[in-house]
Amino acid sequence: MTTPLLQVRALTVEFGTPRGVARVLTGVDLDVDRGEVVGLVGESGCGKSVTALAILRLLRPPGRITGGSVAFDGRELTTLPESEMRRVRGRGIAMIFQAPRESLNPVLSVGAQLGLLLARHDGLGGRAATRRALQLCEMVELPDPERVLRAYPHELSGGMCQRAMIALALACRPALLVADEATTALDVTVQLQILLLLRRLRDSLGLALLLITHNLGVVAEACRRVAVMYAGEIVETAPADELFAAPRHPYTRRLLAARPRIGAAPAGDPIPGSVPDPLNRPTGCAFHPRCHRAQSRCAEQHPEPAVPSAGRAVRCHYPEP
Amino acid sequence: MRTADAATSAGLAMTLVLVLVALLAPWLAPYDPYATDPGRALRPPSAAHPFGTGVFGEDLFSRVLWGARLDLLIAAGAVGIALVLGGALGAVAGFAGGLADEALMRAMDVLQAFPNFILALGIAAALGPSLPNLVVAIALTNVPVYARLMRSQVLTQRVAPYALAAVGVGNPMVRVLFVHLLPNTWSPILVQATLQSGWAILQAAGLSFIGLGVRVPTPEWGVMIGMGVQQVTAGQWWVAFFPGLAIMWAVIGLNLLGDGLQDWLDPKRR
Amino acid sequence: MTGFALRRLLVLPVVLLGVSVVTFALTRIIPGDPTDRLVGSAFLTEERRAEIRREYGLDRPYPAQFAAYLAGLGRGDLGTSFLTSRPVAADLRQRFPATLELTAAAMVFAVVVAIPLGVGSAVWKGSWLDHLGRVLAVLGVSMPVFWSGLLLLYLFFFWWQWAPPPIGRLEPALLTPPVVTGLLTVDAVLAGDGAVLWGALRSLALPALALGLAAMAPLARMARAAMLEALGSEYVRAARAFGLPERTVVVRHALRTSLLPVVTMIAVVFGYQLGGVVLVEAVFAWPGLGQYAYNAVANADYPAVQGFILYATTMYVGLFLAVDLLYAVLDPRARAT
Repeated sequence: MTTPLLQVRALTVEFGTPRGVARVLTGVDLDVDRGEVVGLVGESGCGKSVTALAILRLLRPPGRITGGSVAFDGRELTTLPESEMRRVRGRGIAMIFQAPRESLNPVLSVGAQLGLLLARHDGLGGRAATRRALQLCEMVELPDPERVLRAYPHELSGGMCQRAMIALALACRPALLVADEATTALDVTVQLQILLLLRRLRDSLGLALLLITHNLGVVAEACRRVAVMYAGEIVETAPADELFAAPRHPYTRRLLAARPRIGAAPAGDPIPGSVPDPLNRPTGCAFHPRCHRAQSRCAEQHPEPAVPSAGRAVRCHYPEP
Repeated sequence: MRTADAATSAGLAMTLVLVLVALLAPWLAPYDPYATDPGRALRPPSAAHPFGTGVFGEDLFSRVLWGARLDLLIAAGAVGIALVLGGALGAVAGFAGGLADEALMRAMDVLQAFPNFILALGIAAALGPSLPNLVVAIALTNVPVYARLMRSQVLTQRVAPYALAAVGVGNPMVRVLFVHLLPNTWSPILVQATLQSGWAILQAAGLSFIGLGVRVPTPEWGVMIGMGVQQVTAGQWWVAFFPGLAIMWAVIGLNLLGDGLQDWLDPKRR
Repeated sequence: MTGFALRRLLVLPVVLLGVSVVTFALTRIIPGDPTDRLVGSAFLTEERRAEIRREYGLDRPYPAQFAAYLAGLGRGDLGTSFLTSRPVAADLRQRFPATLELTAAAMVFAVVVAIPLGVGSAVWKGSWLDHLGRVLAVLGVSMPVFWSGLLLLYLFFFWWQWAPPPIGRLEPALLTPPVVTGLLTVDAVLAGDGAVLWGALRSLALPALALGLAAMAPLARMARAAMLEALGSEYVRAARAFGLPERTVVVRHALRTSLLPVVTMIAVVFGYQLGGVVLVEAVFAWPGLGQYAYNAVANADYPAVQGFILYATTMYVGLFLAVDLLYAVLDPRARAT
């Protein structure tokens, strides 16, 4: 088995707050193979975005990486000097964010912003850059590419802005694209279009994708493997179809059951309690206060990932059968 | 302590000192600010006269202390009048809407078309140099800010769900807004008032310096600087120096306090 | 774009009309007999006073006076100064270059110092540069401009004896070069006269510095605030995420968006200068419009005061119009209105 393109092990991130140190990530393990589409799901505040920012070392104080490793294409990223890290950003791993229009400079045209990246990453200028820019616009299926290149962000729809963002990301020729809630802010129909576009890009370019989302529908639609995150750590990893068919971790199971379904009665209580405060984490398993399967061991001992079958991992003392 | 907090605390402290000096000037000042003593004219700072003496032998320290009283009074008066008048106009504009609103806002536009100091200069020149006229002149130049602030508040609150609900059950809109509007508007208005008080002091000093405000020999900081102009080229720097320092103290204190209030009252709390 | 510009131009006359109404009203509400304010009024007989009133049109009802006044404005006639007995418009024209030179020098100084200071403050937030910049800004905003002028005068004229005495644009020993632009520095360069150029610069230095310090402070603050906002924005985060070097991010992204509020601030600051020159020119006996206004105020020369207010306000309004139009060039979002 070849080494994964991205290998995150035991990544811990802390934030210094006036009230104390908050451990936002407590040991994240995540793998993404070349050309694979992995989904990272979890509720708001579980640390998904922080994980992505930490991988790219884009965390700003008071947040910082306090442990673990991030290996990309064989290189350890956490210890790279900033100048080297800058080369990894974009060229190795590119990231797109949730609010596409805000992620674009409002006073520069799309073409100008593309130009900056093409000059930086490919050394292209002038007509060569324009040709490549048009090519990128076509790759992301933007209608009327010439007009788009001349346009400013406020003249484009949300969907077109996100396509433009993807074009910017592709301009860097990344091996891995991290999409942090990239479809959340878009209309539902546009969400689907963007997802399909991402899948097509993966097929044509061999691009690996890490889709971060709280929307299980996105995951079901696009991902081969899924990692479920809770309170700063990965609690379950599985191939998507297996996860949806037979979730092992109690949290995953509740998460899936909480989805509203047409025609079905409400599936019982929503998960009682709330997400733990990173300043005040429960002992042992982070989910135990809310878990219907919890026993005394859960409050005392923090569960390590168990591997019930190939390609699956569960962090639970008493996983569902 | 974060720099921002340190700055705000400094501003608060400086403003408090200013207010205390203004209140206690009659007791703090060693000499009568109008007392002259030609034999002791233009003496440099010393133990007896910490800020030196002026052209007529007057004690400059006492005059600067009394100046705090006058300048603070002018600033408070001007800002207070501007607040009340501007607030009233803005509220009327917001309520009435339509033609009255348009007319009032165009009038505010015209007032704001003048550079601030120039307008004050014009009004002060028209009314004649005196203390009340100075206060009125500065007040009028500050009216538009409060008018716009109040108007935008009224317009937003008018259609707020709670207002519509209250009106829906029979409360007169005027009463609803009065009871709820004021609690919501006081914070931006307080910030504006604090910041503008500093500006008002600068304007008062400037106008008095050119003879349009209070006149010689009233102990006002701008007037006092004016009295020291000739002396500077002769080397007697203290006559003009200390009043200016006092102005800086007051304006810095008020600005730091105002900035701090703004950060503190801003819901984003950055 | 044309629609935007057109609309702004249409509002302009309305505002200017309002301004002239206010200015006119200001001078007419002055209590007392206007003829009392003329030089030598004590010696005027009642007949002569009535004559003068007719001459100046002061015996007619206010609306008629205003109409005459507006008609005069249309011709470029701003009335006649009580003090100099010359047309106010001519007085203003004559003194304009001196003030232009002073204000231009002050603004150049302010912009050249404030922008790098403010930007540096933001980029290296928390550094000594940031602290220095913020301290300077606070000082500049709170110093009365006439006081800092006096302070500079004391230091550079009395103490270090470097600056010439504050009696105008040029020391008496030096001859004014042939007038081409009216700006001494430019005319000296054109005439190839190094001594006069140096003399003019020396005389210009202190008043320009006083005005410039006052102008620099709000500009530096705005530059800092705008840069901080830009540097914390989503698009800067995205640019960094794409691996752009920090220099490119700061210059091509953050600086570009910060330009807009800074440009507006330059206009606002210029507005302060319009009033500030009155104070600074008084201190340095600079023969410009500010001194003219100062003399007019001191001598109750109301047509002159009125003329000065109109000139200053028209410049101010025109400046903001120019900024609005400039915005349309700089900010693509503005063109969409």
